[in-house]
Amino acid sequence: MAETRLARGDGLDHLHIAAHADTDAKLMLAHRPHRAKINLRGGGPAFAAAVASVIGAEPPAPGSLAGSGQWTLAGLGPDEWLALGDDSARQDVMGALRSALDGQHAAVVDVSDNYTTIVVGGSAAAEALAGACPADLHPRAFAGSHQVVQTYFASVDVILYQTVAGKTGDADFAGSRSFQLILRRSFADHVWRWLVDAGRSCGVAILA
Amino acid sequence: MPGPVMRLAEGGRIDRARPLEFTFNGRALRGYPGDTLASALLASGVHLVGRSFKYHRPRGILSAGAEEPNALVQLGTGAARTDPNQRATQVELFDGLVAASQNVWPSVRTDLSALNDVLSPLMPAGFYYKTFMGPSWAWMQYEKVIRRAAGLGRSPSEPDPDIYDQRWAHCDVLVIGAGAAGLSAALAAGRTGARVMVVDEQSELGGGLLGEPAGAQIDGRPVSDLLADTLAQLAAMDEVTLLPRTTAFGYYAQNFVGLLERVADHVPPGERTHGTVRERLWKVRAREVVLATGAIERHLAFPDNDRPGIMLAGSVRTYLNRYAVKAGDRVALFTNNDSAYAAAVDLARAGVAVPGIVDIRPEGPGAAAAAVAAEHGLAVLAGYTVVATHGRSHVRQARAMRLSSDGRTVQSGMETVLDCDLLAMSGGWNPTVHLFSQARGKLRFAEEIGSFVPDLYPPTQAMRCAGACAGRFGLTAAVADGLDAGAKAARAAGLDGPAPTLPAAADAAEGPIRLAWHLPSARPDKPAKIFVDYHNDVTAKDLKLAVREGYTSVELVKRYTTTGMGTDQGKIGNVTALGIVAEALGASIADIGATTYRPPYTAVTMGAIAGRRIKRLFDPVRRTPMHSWHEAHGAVFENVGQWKRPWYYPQAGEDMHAAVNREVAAARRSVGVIDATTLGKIDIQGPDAAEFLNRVYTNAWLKLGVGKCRYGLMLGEDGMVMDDGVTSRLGDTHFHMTTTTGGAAKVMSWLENWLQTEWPDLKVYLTSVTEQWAVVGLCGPKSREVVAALGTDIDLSGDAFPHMSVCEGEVAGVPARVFRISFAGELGYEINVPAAYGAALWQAVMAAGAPHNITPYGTEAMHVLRAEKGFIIVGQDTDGTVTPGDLGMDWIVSKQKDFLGRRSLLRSDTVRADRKQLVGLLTEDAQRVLDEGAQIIATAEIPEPPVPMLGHVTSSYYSPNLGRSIALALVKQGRSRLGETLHVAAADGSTVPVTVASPVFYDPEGKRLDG
Repeated sequence: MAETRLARGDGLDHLHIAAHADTDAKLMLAHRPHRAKINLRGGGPAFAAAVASVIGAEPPAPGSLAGSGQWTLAGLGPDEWLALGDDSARQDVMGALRSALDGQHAAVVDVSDNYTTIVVGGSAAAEALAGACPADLHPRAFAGSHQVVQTYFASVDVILYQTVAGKTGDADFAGSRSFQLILRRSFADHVWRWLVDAGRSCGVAILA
Repeated sequence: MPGPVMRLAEGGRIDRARPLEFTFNGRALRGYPGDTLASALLASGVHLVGRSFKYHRPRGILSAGAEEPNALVQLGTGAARTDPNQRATQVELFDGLVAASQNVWPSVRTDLSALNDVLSPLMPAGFYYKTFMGPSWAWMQYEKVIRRAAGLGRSPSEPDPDIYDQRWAHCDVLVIGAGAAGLSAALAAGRTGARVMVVDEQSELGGGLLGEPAGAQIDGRPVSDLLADTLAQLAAMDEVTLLPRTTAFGYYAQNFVGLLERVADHVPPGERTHGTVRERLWKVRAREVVLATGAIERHLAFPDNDRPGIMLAGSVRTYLNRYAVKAGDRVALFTNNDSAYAAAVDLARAGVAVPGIVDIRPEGPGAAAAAVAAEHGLAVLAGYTVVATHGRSHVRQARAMRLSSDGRTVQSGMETVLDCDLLAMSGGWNPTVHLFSQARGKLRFAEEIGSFVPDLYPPTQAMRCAGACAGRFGLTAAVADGLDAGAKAARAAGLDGPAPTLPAAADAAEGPIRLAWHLPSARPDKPAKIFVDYHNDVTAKDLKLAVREGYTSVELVKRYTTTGMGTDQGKIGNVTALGIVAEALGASIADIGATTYRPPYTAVTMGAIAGRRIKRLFDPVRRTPMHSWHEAHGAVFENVGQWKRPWYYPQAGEDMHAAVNREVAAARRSVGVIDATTLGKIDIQGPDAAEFLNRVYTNAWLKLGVGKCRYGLMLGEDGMVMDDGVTSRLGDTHFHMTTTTGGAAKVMSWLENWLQTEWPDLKVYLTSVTEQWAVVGLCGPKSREVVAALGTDIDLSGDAFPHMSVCEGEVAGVPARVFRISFAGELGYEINVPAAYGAALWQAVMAAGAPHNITPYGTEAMHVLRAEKGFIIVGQDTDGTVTPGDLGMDWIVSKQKDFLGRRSLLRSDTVRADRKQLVGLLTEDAQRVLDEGAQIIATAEIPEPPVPMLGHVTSSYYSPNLGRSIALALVKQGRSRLGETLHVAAADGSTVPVTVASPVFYDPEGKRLDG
């Protein structure tokens, strides 16, 4: 057995992103590369019960969010969900899901490194996103903590939902709406650069 | 500096406290905030602004808006910030603005190309088609001369320094046009709490209301109060967005509307601060759209109707009331309808002399217009028409004669001469139906207004028209129509509110219009030009000639004569042109129909279309987790789709050839390492996973053992090779598929499509994991030592971990999937770890391989290594027309089972004997490397065309391991030509002799796989 553990990169190391406080900034950005992301495939009552027994919430309908405690379930399709949670619990939850689903036609796939998360907050967040995303994020149209959309931003596929208070640990975003953009790892570079550009005239704060 | 001699002492919506200075053709002039360039020029007495497109006739400002065909100017100076073809009628004045006439040489007053006017009898409709017939090569020469003579403005020649932006938006009700109808609609919709967007192309919201005189009333309320109050109410509504300076230029499917907001075009370039957006393109999805786009006045087609000083009457009125500019001191009017009387009355009230109103209607105007004309003592020449105008660079006289009852001739002898410095004309009004028509609405010709009105609304759009654009003229009607449309639109969008209170009064009744599409001259023997399309210099005679020459469709007449094809798109003259064509055909306008309206309504800058997608933000650049290491170690990158992949790693003093040779040699003699992260990866799970693979690959998959890997070819339904890769069985119901880098997304969609639509019975789940795994590929006899040195719990012995197998375990302390596979025919491992560890694993591999002088290699060396083995690259050695049989890969095509594409392999075309087949080519000169893509022929001499082509070179390299060049090629019946000498055409016209060989050049027995 090897004696070394390798260091983890975050996919944006090359941008040397440093925390940048700016109380006047209307756009706030954070990169959250290491959250646990588990893709779940399956269906039927037994599947729902098994998932609920581990995550604490039944898989929601497509386009909806559900969750409990530290985990959020995003409904991506009629038989597909993305479970989002804390990295430290990833292995245990993966194992628990596989045990609970044993014997069912289901798939539990670790996609924690396939995707990364960029969080967009501040009073100009929705406007900055509207610069390159066709989803309607108006509070009337985008049902706050219950809705998730699969759309694109700056020609990159993204899974987008509004931050659920207390779920992400992004306490600094408190007080303004913020949005979680989950996107494939290699596109983070483009999306990050785009967002920084979008904030050129309104100021950008970057959270560690 | 000349004072604004034509500016009234008071009135208008200009800010007289802040004079602005600008230049036109180098002359310093003055205007005020609130002016357009056109209003400021008229205020300074400048009418002559340009020369016409073809005949270079002097032309003046005709209109006050987007319909302007004449007053096109070049704005700004320098090579970066200069804009051609800007309509002076829409350019907002700012301090320091620089404008110049275009299409003139040497100056607008003395333009030498005006000779074209004298020669005009030689330049009829279709002149270019008729004259510059051929030979075809000569067109390139003609074209340069014609471009110079018939040019428009100059394009900027340097990169645009301004910032352009884009924005998506959604609303319940989008109101296009902020005149009386649009603002009323917005108010009614806004009161329900609806999300409303109001857009208007002008700098100020109000539309036609802005051109009403002080004291004008609607339903007993002063217009100015009504406007101010409405705007204040709208501004106070949280969900209402007001966008002045914004043109709705395109109306697309499902209420998708494109807007161009000119955010800072009116700001002097020097004051555009860092980060300021110049223009913003909006992409709006609206639940409901209210079109309140108003109407555009038609001109009258009469002899000499293009002199500077001949203007549209409604525009003259706008200049007077909105900008406090009298466009002339002595204004004659010429009309076929009542609307011009409002202009005459406003002019008279402002103290301008009005020598007469020439009205072609024998009965004269309606009662209300007649009454105000009488009240102001205005002379009406009822039943008269203007037969000629005089004045070289400005109109100074109009001559009127009595028009016959059929409108074709004039009665001789009855002539009235009107001395004037301005002739204001009105030919009626065209509802601005451009967006309605773009949205696929169907139009109807309404005889009572002589124009097209919205008729059939398209079922796919939620849209309604209000006010003048619906053919309902009059301010009170516009308010009533707008309130009604706005309330209905909000309700349709799901919002409720009280029904709006409609105006109690109605607009005064007007007398009927008299339609006469072109008017006669006094001298039929010596006819003057009657312009229909000012911009493209199309006359009534041109249109009649086109019909005589057999062009009976309006779409063909349009293209033959270029009517309506200028920058103004015929906003003023198109209906008149239709009237003339209909008359010449002996048909009605309703029968011949209108030409198609297409976006954009007015021009959209390329900058706005690009938005921020420029330079580094043009397209995503995908980097692997190891990219920074490659950069730091001098890699030269190549683009593979959006990915950047190391191409080769030159060391000091090395060129590409030397670097690739070194990398290739190392991978065969010791150990090389490649970043293979970009390969597509799909996780496949489910009890039917093996059956699924059996259907999508050409070979058999049911019996692949757990822990084993297999190479597979995927075909399209046409039987052609689509993708390839190695897929491995991780468990009974669990596979790990790899695809080509470029094919990853396409293969995922392809597989999902089959699963979801054709084989829903198969229990299989696919998950894309391309980016979950970073992949380090080791190649060469020392690769096993390197994996061992990294530290792993996997038994690396040949028996425990043979070629084409997979093991899961830990490598360097990280969970890994290790595949023992090779694209180079060597001992090789592909180590997959979660992507976050990719960079660190790479560095660990470099350290572990240091004792063996481990050599990173790029895609070029990979290509050489695989070509030495005759392994194909899909997309390089195949091009969508190549079957497995063509590649000599029948061994991978099962005869026992069905698979996607199988039936197509039995088609007569796919089994014919003379298909192109993949072979190797060896040059006689071993050092000569062939050009990829080069054509292969049978003879050393290139015969006269057409030259029989036998095929082409698909891959070509220098192989350091063989000490010679190698190439792969697709050659007709190639496998039956082994040993034959063929010739490859080189770019310099010579040919290179080659011998056809097996495509496997190196280690054909595969002995090296075990190191």
